[in-house]
Amino acid sequence: MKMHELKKLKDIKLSDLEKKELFKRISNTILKKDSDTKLSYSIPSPFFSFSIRSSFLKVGFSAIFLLSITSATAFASLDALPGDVLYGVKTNFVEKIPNFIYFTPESRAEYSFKKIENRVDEFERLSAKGKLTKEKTERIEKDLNKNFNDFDENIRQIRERAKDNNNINRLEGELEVSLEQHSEKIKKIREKEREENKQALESVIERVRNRKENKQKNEENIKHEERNATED
Amino acid sequence: MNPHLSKLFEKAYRENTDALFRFVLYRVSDKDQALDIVEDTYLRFWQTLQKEAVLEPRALLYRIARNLVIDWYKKKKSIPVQTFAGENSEKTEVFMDMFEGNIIGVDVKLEAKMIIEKMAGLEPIYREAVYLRYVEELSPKEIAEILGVSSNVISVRINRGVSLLKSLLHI
Repeated sequence: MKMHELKKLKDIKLSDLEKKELFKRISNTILKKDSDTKLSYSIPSPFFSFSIRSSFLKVGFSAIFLLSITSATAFASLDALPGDVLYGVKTNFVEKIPNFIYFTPESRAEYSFKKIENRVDEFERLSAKGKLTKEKTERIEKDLNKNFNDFDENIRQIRERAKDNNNINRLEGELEVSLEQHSEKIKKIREKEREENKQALESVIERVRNRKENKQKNEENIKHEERNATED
Repeated sequence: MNPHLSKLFEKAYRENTDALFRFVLYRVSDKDQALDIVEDTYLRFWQTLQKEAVLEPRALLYRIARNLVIDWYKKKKSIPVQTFAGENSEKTEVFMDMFEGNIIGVDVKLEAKMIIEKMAGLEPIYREAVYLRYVEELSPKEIAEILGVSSNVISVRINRGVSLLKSLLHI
């Protein structure tokens, strides 16, 4: 036992009700002698006893206020497009939050897939509004490349750790179907867009095409290795 | 009626009731008896507030409570009360059998019981100083006011008490 453990004796306390009863007894006796006296004692609620100090109140309200502002901003940023004030909040803050909850490469790959779809969707929406510029296209392309890299990295991890080809095939297959659909849309967008945007859009389509080719090569390599292993 | 006194009284009650209850309970070992003494303590505190300016309400409350416990022991008489003419020759210090026996009416946790048992090995003169310093976290100056001795005497009692307690606990 150490000296600071003596404080454990402080555990012995009166309940709020007992303190109120005791105060009532005391104030009744005082009132008998001095009827003008007014004494009051109220049981503080658990919340009140926590926030009774003004510093706690200030910190508490500030935290709630900041949380409200942050949540509202984050929510508002979900529909933001490149060029909007909140787009930076969306890509640099809101989309990074789930990274703290997704621990497995599978869940991270699925989330990267979702972000890839978001980027392609942004292309489509900007084009539909006639607001696709060279800068915005380059911005999306840059983010899209990052999302593709994240997806590929997680697929590599799944392959290394679990050698779970079924899961990999499912994820890559879903992504491929999704990209096929989007690349068709992007091709149509490219036809409508000004010359300066066409080049950037072309590189996105190229990236999708490369992914497809790389995937086919990988599959062939895997089959080749499996064949060799069987022959050995 | 002075509303300022009412506020002062209510504040003192809010801030000190648990500590006073413990302080008394450890000495009388009976919850109902401790509550009666705490009630009397506040009534006397109120009377003092009406008569004079109180600069250290907490110290005054402890002093009143301590005197009431001594009176209770004197009335009870069944427990031997030792008298001692020590550093404070004007007053008679009473060494009470605090921390001994079971506490009636209160559910004391095992950990607290063990601490009480260990502190019972200290002489009451040191036990009281160590209790007020390390359990109730009062300053040596406040303890000096409560016990009616100088701060230096309290510092010596605390240091000796801590050394003795450590040797009892083999730490």
